[in-house]
Amino acid sequence: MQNWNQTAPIYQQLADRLAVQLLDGDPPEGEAMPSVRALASRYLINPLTVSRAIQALSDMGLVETRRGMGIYVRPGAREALLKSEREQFLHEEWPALRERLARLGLSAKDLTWESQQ
Amino acid sequence: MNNDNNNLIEASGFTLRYGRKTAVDNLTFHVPKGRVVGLLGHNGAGKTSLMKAMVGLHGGTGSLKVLGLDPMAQRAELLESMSYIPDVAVLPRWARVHELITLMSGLQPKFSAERARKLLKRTSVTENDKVKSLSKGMVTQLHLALIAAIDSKLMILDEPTLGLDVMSRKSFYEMLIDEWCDGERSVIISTHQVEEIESLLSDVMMLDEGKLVLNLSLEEMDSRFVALAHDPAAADAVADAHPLLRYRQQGRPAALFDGAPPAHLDGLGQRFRPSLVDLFMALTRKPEMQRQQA
Amino acid sequence: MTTTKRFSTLMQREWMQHRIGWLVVMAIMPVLMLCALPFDNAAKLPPHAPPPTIFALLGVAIGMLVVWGLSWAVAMFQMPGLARRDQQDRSIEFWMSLPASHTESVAATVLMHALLIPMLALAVGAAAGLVLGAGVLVKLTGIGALGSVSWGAVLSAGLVGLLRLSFGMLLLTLWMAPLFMLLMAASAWLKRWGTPVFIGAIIIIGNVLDKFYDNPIVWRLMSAQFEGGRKAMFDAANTLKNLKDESGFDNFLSQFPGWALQDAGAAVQQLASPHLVGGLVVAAGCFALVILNRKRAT
Repeated sequence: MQNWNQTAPIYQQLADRLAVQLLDGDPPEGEAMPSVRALASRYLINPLTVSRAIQALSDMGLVETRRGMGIYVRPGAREALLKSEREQFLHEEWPALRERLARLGLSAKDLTWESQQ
Repeated sequence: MNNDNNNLIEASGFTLRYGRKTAVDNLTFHVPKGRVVGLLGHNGAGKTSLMKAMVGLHGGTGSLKVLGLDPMAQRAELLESMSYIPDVAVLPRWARVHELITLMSGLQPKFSAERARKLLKRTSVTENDKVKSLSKGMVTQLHLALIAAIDSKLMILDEPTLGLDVMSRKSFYEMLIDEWCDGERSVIISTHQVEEIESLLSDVMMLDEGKLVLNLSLEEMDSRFVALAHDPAAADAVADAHPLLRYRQQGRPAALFDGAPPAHLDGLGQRFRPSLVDLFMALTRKPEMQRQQA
Repeated sequence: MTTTKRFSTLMQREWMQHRIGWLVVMAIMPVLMLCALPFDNAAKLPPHAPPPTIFALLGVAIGMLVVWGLSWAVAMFQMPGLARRDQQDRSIEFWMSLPASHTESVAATVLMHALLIPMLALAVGAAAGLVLGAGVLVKLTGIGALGSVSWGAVLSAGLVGLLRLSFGMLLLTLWMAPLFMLLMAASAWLKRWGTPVFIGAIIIIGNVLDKFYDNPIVWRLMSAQFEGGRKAMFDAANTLKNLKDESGFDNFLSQFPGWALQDAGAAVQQLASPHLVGGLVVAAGCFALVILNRKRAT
């Protein structure tokens, strides 16, 4: 039940989670997002908080409100999200990871790129 | 009922006394429609007294209007649009479930027997059970199902999940979200399970010794309170900034601030979101200084 | 929701909560009689026994008296306990969470226990008495006796009696109201000391006033209520004896309805008494005290 941590406000954590799903194509671009009530029910979060999360996604340019029809995933959202996630990895997470690899004395040839079956 | 505005509850300077003891002291607040308000406080802080006042069981001085009505003077009328669960599971032990359904149908105009039966199907309680043969948890589930079958604008619940196991609590939270969060109704819920319920709330009211020490929406809370996890070395610097509370978060020292911490501290630690529990501890514990001076 | 619907639901609650006890109390005497019936088969009808029709009617009368008497006595014993019934099982908080006022709740309780159920007991007693009366008749004089009973007369006279007594029951409740409401209020406020304290107070005050101040007012007031109640119940003008003596068995049945109507009228006239009115005022005050006690329970 309680799977929200203290890194960020709950609405932000939900927005991040929904963004990850968008990245995986769920829902696909141009399709409707689940309703606020459906999301509230699924995640056991107050609908007002869910609305804030949707607003955050909208601010990130990932979704848009179509009047009278609901909230839809913007075309190009996935692309945009992929781009910003890549940026964040390359500029923030990768340098930290690279330092750690150096500390451990690992180099590219020590890392397996194909996932084990 | 003349309730033109959006507020289901309005209190102004409301004080409630039991003899010489002040249970609730000069409260001013309002609860709009479409909210889930968590009412937090230690035992004896005044939660139950406030709830009793809201349902017309006790009167006080000052102004308190629920659904536009005076709870004490217009209690019968108020109860037709509001439902509440008092502290303990208090269903009559001699009754069978179907008898309770019949009685509630005859007394509470907004009660739907059909809905009650539908909600009961989700529990292990059958219509022929006698209340006295049910376990405490099942009685609570039954009471919740009966109350949930009332189509009321305002629900006031005093520790509704006491004695329920995790699955039943989850079931109750699901029902709360699915059935009651339609933007028109409001729920006031007091509970000790603060962590579980945090994500369900839209607003928080904290009582400490009868006084309202916090009355915020969760949105405002997110932006107002900041917690900082730091190294032990930074402890003195942090203390000098007079945080609301100093505690340990996952093994590391942490401090909770009302408003942003001074800029120089930011480099000494990481910001994180204080949980409702931490905030509760911060705002309702007595500062050490006061105790020494007393 | 209308007051009527709420009130009838509150009465329905009383039935749901207490029906087993009520039915057991009503059934005890008839069942015992029924069990005793097969025994003592050598018994015969005494020589000056009334004719079979009157005998059957007597069965109805005795049935009513016995079943009602026991039922009413038990109800009066239980009235004090009812004052705090909901507080004691903690369910009062549940009832308070529903839109039924204290006045409605207490009124429904008193109405059911003190009036309606004893009325039901009268009807049950009449029916049981009829059956048992017939049974005893058969046992004492053989099955042929059943044919010599004018059942129509028995039923109509029995019905008249039942109606008169039911009406009497209503008036009796008015006469007895101050007494059982005082017990209820005393129990509400003093809990299990309520009844003993009340009875003790009556005895002490009564005796003090009587012996030291030569003022037997307490005894007078109480006996006035009991007398008024007894008369209201049946034979208000003390004319039943006359009816019996003057008409003999045959005319008795035909005169009975007329007499019953007159008797009822006399009972109504007797209501215009300062004792009754004063008693009702006391009862109303005690009713308010019981409600006040309920209000303080949460």
